[in-house]
Amino acid sequence: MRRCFATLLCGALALATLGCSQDDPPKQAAGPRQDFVADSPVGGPALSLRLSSKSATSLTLQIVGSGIAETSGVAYRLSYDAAVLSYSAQRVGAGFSAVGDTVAAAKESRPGLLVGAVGVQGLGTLKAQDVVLAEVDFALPGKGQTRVDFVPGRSAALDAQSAPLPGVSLLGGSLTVR
Amino acid sequence: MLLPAGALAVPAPRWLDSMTPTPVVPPPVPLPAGALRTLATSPVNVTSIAYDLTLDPTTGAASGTVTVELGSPTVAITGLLLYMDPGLAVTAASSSTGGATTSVDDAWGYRYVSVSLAQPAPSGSAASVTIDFSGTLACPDQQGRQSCSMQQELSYALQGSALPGVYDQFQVGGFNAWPAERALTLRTPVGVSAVASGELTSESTEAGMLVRKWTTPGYASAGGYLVVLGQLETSPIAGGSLPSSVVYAKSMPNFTAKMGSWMGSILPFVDAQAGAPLPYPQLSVVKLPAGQGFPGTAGHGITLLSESYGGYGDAYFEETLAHEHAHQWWGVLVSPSDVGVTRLLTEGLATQTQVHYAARLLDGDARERFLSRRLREHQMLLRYHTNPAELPALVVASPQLAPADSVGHTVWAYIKSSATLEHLRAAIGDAAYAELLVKYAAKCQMAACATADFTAVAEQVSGESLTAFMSQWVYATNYPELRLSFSEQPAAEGVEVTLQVSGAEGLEVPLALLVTLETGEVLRRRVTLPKTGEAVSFQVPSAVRSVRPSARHDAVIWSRSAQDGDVDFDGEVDGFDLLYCARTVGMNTGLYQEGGEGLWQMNLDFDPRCDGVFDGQMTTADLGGIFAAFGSLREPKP
Repeated sequence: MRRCFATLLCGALALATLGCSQDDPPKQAAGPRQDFVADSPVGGPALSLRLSSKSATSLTLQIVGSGIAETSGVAYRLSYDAAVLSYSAQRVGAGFSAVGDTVAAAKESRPGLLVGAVGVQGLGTLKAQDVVLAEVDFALPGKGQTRVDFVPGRSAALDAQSAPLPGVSLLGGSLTVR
Repeated sequence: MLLPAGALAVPAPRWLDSMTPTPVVPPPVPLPAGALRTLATSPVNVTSIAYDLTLDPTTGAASGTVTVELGSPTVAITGLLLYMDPGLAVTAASSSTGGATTSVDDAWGYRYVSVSLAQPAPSGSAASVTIDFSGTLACPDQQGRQSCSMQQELSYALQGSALPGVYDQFQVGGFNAWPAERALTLRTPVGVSAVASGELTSESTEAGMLVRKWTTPGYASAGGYLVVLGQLETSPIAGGSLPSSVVYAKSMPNFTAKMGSWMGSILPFVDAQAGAPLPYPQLSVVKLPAGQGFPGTAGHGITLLSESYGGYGDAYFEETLAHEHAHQWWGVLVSPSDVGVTRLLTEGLATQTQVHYAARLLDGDARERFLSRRLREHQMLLRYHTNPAELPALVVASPQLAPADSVGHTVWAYIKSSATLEHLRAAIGDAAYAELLVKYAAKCQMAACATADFTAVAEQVSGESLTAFMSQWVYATNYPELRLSFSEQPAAEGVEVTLQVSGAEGLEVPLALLVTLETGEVLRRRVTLPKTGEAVSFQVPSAVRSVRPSARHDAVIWSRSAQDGDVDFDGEVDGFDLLYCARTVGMNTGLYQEGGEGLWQMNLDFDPRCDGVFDGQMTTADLGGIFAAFGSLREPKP
């Protein structure tokens, strides 16, 4: 039902087609328009960003794990233009919550740099096949364009021993706020 | 009263649950000053000890003669002291200088026989003392171990039982006292198999008895002196540099094939470590039945280990066998004369050998990770299960100052010793350390050497003075709590890294550093932190992500990042720190955990750096420091 509603809303507001191509298209209220274009999948395991929802003053990006056989958590840093995005809040995705107790933290250490983590507390792993691992809310302080990227070397899905999993692609996206 | 002969061994299984103490000498009686003096300080030379023993393992009936040849260039020989099984009685005593009298005192499960010569042998002359004995071996419990066990399938007699141990008139003796040649003539009923320390020289039948003779060259050794007999089978070991076999009770073949297979790897590993093959005509590896009086030992040409260690998993059994066999070099052939006051170069080297044997198939970062985790056992035992401030230095002033309690002694002799050797190994580098062991073995094989000789060789191969190292960590105890931070500056060729360390003031601290570049490449750098606490610098090709001391120092050097909450030494507190520690929530440092590893079944995933409260229990409270500092980053790179 929620998906149907979102689809209708998306069509009615004539959002950019790329932004509507997701399974769970965003909602858009009146006011400034935002287009988030996720990087194209490259095949293989990946951490990617997906637009979850947006409003005139905020948007939510999901950190999605794909093709990851076993992960205990995600440590990440996201970089972006602080004039366009400002961190508000983070929530653990349903994937990790289903495993057991979770742990999470996030802080905008510098304008335009978010340091975050979500994962399992104690022993436990998750098979991440198109699973939402975290949701991150941002405020939109101003108009403009920005890349939203995972910082390489500082972002990784971790294995059962909390070591970075090799070969996991990091896929960000481009945001335009008009 | 004096201590019976000690034995090289491995930590006894389940030290806290059982009454089995560590397999060194039983808890001592108060020793007179100067007791257990070393080879260098005894004015008496015992040149040979010869046994002629008739033993029936089915009954424990024993009779025999021990003849001791001794003399001194400076003092008159007035007597000696024997210790033996309390079931044996002295039936005659004589000496080359005339008669001899004896007096007996029973204590700690041993019979001590004081022998006084009627006529002292003048200084500069030699004397021969012969004692006849007979009886039935009682094999009593001796502070948690037994010097003998008479069972149908597999019996044994250590020195101090049917093979009387010897002290000289100055109460110098037990192990490592003098380079006495030894000879054993063993007479058993036909059908009884036997192996013993020494080299088998003959086997015959006389008067309806099987007669075997062994000799051991004269050199000071901490090795055990013993005989094993019963209904024994042998299984040849392939792959060694000398004829070797596993010896076991015929009716108890379990583990035999595995032990033989493992020895096929252990023999060349230990040969390579010492840089030479074992100088024996043959080697016996005896599998002791579980719970049979002592857990293992090693002597000239014989290695023994209890199958009790099989209860801890094959991997641990195998590395424990490597430990015991390593004693062929580190204790038997190369035996420090100061072994009465230190176990650094016997148990310490053997324990280090077992760890590196376990890591033998790994290299590079995988080896470093394995060692870091494996050595957590050392770190936790030192920091959580004993009071490091109370454990004495690795070389004590007198034997009485070594820890006497089971836990304390085990951690001191095995864990603290090997942790300190690993600290040294990391400090001077694996290549230099390997050269050190080869040269130390060559110099000190069957020779009178002490810890100082090991140090001298270490300085030679490393090209560095180890005076500070030895004085800080061998002859004294220090557990510096370092806090490290680093900064980078562009240099002519790459980046100059400056490492600032607090907590080591007054100590000279050599460290092997793992420097992770932003590219992910891990470089190794060795530095020595000066006593002044000044920063040290080194160059690397490109920007640096983290600088951390090798975890192989961890049991001795308690290093942490200067940034609270940063456990991976990148100077920042981020998701890698949080998730690494979050994984360990629920873990603890307890012994004998279900699913635990090694002899003490500990959880080696427990990382004390995550234990913010430092109580040995990982809870969410321990994550508080990480949460509080989460997101703290270093200044952006120039």
